Amino acid sequence: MRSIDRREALRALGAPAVVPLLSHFHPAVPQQEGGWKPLLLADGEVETIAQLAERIIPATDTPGARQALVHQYIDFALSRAEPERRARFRDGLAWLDRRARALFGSPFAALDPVRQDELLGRLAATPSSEEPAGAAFFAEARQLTIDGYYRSEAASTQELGFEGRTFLAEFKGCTHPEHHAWKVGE
Amino acid sequence: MSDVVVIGSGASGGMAAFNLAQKGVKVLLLDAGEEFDRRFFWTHTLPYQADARLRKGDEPPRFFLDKVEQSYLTPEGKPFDLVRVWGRGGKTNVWGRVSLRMSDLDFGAAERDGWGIPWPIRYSDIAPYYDKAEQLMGVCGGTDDSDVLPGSKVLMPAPPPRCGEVFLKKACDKLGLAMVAGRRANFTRPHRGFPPCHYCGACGQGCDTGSFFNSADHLIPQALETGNLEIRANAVVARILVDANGRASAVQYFDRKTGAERQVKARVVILGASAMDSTRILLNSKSARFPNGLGNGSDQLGRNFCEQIMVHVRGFLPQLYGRGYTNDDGIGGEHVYLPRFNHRPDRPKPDYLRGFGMQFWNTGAQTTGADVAQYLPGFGASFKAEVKKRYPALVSLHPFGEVLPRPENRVTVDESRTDRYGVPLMKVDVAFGDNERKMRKHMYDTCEEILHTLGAEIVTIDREANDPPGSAIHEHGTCRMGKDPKTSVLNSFNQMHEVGNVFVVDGSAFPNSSEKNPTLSIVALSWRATDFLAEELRAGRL
Repeated sequence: MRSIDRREALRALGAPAVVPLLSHFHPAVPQQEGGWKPLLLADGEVETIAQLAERIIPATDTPGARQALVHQYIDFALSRAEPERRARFRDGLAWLDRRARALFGSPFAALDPVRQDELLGRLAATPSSEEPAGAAFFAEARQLTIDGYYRSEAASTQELGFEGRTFLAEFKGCTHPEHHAWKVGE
Repeated sequence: MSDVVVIGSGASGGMAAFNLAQKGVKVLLLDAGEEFDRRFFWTHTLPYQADARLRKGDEPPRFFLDKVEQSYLTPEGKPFDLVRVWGRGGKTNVWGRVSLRMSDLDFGAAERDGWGIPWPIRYSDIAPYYDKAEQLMGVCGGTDDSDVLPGSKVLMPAPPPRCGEVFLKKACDKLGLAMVAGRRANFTRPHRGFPPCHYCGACGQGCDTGSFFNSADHLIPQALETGNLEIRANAVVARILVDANGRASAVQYFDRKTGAERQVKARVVILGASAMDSTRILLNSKSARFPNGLGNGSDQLGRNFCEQIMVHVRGFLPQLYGRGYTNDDGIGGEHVYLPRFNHRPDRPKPDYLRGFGMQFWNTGAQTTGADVAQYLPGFGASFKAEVKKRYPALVSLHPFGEVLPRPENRVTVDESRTDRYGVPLMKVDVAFGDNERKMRKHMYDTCEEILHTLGAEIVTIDREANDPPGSAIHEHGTCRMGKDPKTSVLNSFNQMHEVGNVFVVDGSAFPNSSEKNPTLSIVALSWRATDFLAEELRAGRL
């Protein structure tokens, strides 16, 4: 169940393998445009995480993480997280800046995207050549970015073209002519 | 005074109230929570819309019981995930809806392999009730019929398969595995005054049109219409009290809002509080006559816990890469099912007892895309493109395997630790064993075989992993039925051997779990037990 469609919810419920930061329904992005104020992070941290998220899922012909307001999602999600997890994440942001300075002489947000990608590439490599704390921070930031981006309206409509969760009179099933070989129920 | 006090309003208690009230029996139903109002379900709230609503302070219905409000104990290092819904309809508000008939492979398992005790009934005893239950519950499905999964002539039409499911079927055909249409209590036709399923796929949020079977919409209202049912909400039952003759005489409960203690007299008590809570109530019902819990002279009450072990394997089908979004929501879960096959003479003899079936929820583009992205490595524009390419191509394999009943896997109550009402907490002490680990290997092997047959990219598997005990949300065995009062708690009509006016109609009555989702069988057994009970009342034997 854990929805009960264990899953689906459940669990029952279709529970994801990676438990989202906010359990059940909650990954709650209070997405606001103008006048947004972070709940947890300092302005400098917000800019760092916004740039980091944008490198993980950049704008292409569709919006990237910044346009999807992923930094706002991460701030909100962390504001509801356990204190240890918040502290760990913020330590990770500080670690990222220290490492950026050591390698390239500037904090992460001041680097150009090529340098940023180079640093993230070192963190994403398996096995990572960087400190375990840095690799763990990247994994967490990546997961938060994925959660925030793909639940956003921008990703849902423009990137993936999602049209579900609606009212259909009929469910058609697979509509690819070459794949439609099995009439279920017989 | 009511004739019968029913504890719990879900599949089992709801059916008991439904059947008895319609037979003219006066029923008082004690429900540990309140009604959930369909008008406020978030069935059609998209993730980003949910965000905006939460921002405004709006909240989705709280179906799941808070583990802080009502906790339970587990030994160090032995986690157990207990999911409870306290409120009108119980877990049927958000259940998985998979509705599979058990067969004599399940009812006769103990005779064949010697593990556990035999069921006191056979398929022929329950088959008429399966027919009635499937019609009432609006189960859809196919025309298949096998020794594992007996056929049915009363099912609504099955919905067509998603693309990924078409491929899974092709793979199973090649491997000689007989995949069939799923059977689910989603209405694919209008049913009993309710509209058919509208294929939004969000059943887990509760259905805002009442288009899948749930006790709150499809059992309780009909029972209320008879005028024979009274419901008392927020009544958290603690104990069943007995008279000098050792018969149940009253039910003690606490008001969930005020904490006040109350007692109601009872001629007959039916427990349908779900396996773990019914067991807790009986274990806490101690008296001079029953020092170890009501009707527990056999010391079997609380023992022999069983359920299913689950693993999850995911892959991406290259055949579907880049095909773009298709609406794969359907009736929520998978539209196909792979019944147990390991017992068949053409398969190698397994090195473990019992078997597993396989379900496939979350196959196709049913999710936000995070479910794809989290399984892919990397970052950047190429990562984003890889996610999009695979979005329609996700297939998810979820084997469910029977966990053997063992006396040491058990529920007890701890007198030294009490809940907010001063009632001893339950302690759940459960671990999987060697049989489950051997079966788990076969589960992973089968998933890999299916995916290899399709040339799928398989998401990295940790073959030592499985969901923790409790995750199936299919608890059984702790109040089992059987012929012999020395080894069982209930007789073949869910009546306590030692206390004739107490019946237990939920999943705790199953001597073994089978690999199948139990709700259909629970409804059928509760129907059968309360037919018997009504006749006993009519004949003046209770």
